[in-house]
Amino acid sequence: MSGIRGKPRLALFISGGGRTALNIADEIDTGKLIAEIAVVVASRQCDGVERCRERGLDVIIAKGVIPEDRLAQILSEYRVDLVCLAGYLKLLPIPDGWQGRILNIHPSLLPKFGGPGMFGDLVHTAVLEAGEQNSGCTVHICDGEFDRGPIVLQRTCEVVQGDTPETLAARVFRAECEAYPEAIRTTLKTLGFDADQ
Amino acid sequence: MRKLVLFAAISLLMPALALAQTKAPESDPAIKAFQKQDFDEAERLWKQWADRDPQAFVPVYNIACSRSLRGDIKGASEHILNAIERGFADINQLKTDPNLKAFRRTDTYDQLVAAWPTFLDRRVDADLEAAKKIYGSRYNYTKDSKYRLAFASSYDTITSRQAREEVRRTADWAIKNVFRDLQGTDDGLDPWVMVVLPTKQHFIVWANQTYGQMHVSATSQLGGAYAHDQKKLVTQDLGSTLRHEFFHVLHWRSADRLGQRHPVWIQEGLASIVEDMDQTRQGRWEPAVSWRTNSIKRLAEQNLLTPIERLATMPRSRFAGNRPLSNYAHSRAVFMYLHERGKLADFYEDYTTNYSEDPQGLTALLRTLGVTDKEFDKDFRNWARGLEEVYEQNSPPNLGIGVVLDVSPGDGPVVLQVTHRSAQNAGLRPGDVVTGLNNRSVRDLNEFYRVLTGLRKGQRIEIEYRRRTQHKSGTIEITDRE
Repeated sequence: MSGIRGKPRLALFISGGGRTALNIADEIDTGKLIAEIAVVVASRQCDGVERCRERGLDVIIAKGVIPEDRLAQILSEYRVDLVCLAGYLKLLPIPDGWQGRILNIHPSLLPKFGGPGMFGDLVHTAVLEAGEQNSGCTVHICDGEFDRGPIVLQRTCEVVQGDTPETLAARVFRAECEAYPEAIRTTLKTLGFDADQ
Repeated sequence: MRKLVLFAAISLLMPALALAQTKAPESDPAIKAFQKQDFDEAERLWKQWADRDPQAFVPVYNIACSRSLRGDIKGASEHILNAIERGFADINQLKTDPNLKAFRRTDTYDQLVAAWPTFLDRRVDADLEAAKKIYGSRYNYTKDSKYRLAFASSYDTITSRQAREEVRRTADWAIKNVFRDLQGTDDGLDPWVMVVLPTKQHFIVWANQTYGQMHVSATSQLGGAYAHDQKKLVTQDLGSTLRHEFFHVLHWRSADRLGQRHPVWIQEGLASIVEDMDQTRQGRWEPAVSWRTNSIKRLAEQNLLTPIERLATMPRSRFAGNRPLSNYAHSRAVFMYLHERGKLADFYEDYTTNYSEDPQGLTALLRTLGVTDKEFDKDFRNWARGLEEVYEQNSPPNLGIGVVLDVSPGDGPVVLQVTHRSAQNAGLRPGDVVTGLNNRSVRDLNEFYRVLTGLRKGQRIEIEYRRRTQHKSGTIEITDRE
């Protein structure tokens, strides 16, 4: 496939600070991930919008749940190959032909601590309240429901004594910074993009 | 005339911060008005800014320029004195600013120049007193007269001394290998610089004030920054960030003396070169391969390197905006390449000598190496492809030392939990700060993984760590990663 399709084009979907999206930009910037960011889609006017624009990325704001036909239109307009939800809090419909091409990252070891309303520090609070010894993150393929669908990979980290939701979140985020690029590489390979092009 | 100068080097997530310096909304319109010689409008905007921020000397200094140009010498003198009260300290600017030509014919100016060294010495003492009021008696306060630095450190005596020694070692290296023009400059005319090594709480307060909350919350990894106008270096990371930011201090000293403003690729590339340093087999302390050279090696292998001609002419907003990590890594690698050929100091001398014809430094680079830009790109790419790779954060090895580590910036990674018996036997406890491994300094996670390069599971190595004010050492076994 190499040479015919060029670099795979990603669409990143955000709702907050955009850290996950910027980490993917960093991985591309440092040559670890061979891809380009075609567009960033934000579900609202958030800090991530400004940060991504400062980074020279194309950002569009599509408030609320995006209708399926609008989503299909955006993805075709920007010639997107793979969608990565990066802290996106709205449910994304899956247009025809996009099954297996939409990834999400969740800050827990799914199926534990996932589902509607489980996001951000609420996840880490729940993990601590449950007395878990480990937490981590999960990258999975979206199947049109919150935090469901085949798992691409998980990365664990320890829960330590004295952890607060913030300290645990920081550790899980480090795991996310490794896990997401790796899952993207794996998925791109299954989509026929050659990592060593 | 002055614009605010604020330099940030953040090891991991630079982009958001490097742009966050628009403190005064009237700054740009004022400069535009001034350039159109609409002095009334320019002064009105600067006065607004000065009234709102009693610490800001930039608007007051600029009003002085405007007054001097209009022939109001008394007004110019008053505003210069006011700017000095507010923190202005650059004698070279006073001596060379074309807008101040009329002011330089006054007695006030002659008196200022004669008294400048004494004035700077008094100012640093006053600054230290002010720092004591802000940071309190638990910090320790010292001065380094050779390099004209005042330190306010929240760390224990030994850690504070290590930080001061690191700064000296960096200065010695820089003056020997780059800024030969700073050798023997002891005329007392360089402004002192305040180096603050704050507690986490003080750091957050400072960072929010300086950059705004939005940008600070973007990253927990902000190590520190040097604000040249304030002559203040603040860092909580005592390793790569301290060295990088301190390098900016020296570079500004050199550039101010020469009356030059160097482009971003030279400023950041040179400062980045001291981020990762290692002892060579011959016992010299030299720039080392690191996560930054890893990037450049990968980009070279994928034929994705920016041509040198584009890198050298990139404006700061693009350099630090679009692809900051590769631009920093690339510039650092260019200067490593020069240094390996023994030509770094030659380049700097050639560049600063011929600055007026070649402010971007590209011609000086190619002349120093005796190549064309195409030849340079080719040789550099081949050199980059051959660089040794090291372990780094985000793609670390499956190796560890049997503990869970906290990653936030400081004097080293903090042990959160001991998971392996070897770490327990070495005496490690939660709360200990790992400061050295295998006789190399470890101040952050990238350094931590870098020093694991070449080690194997089961190998036993030296570990140095800090428990509150006590500094300890032991032997520890390399384990699987936690």
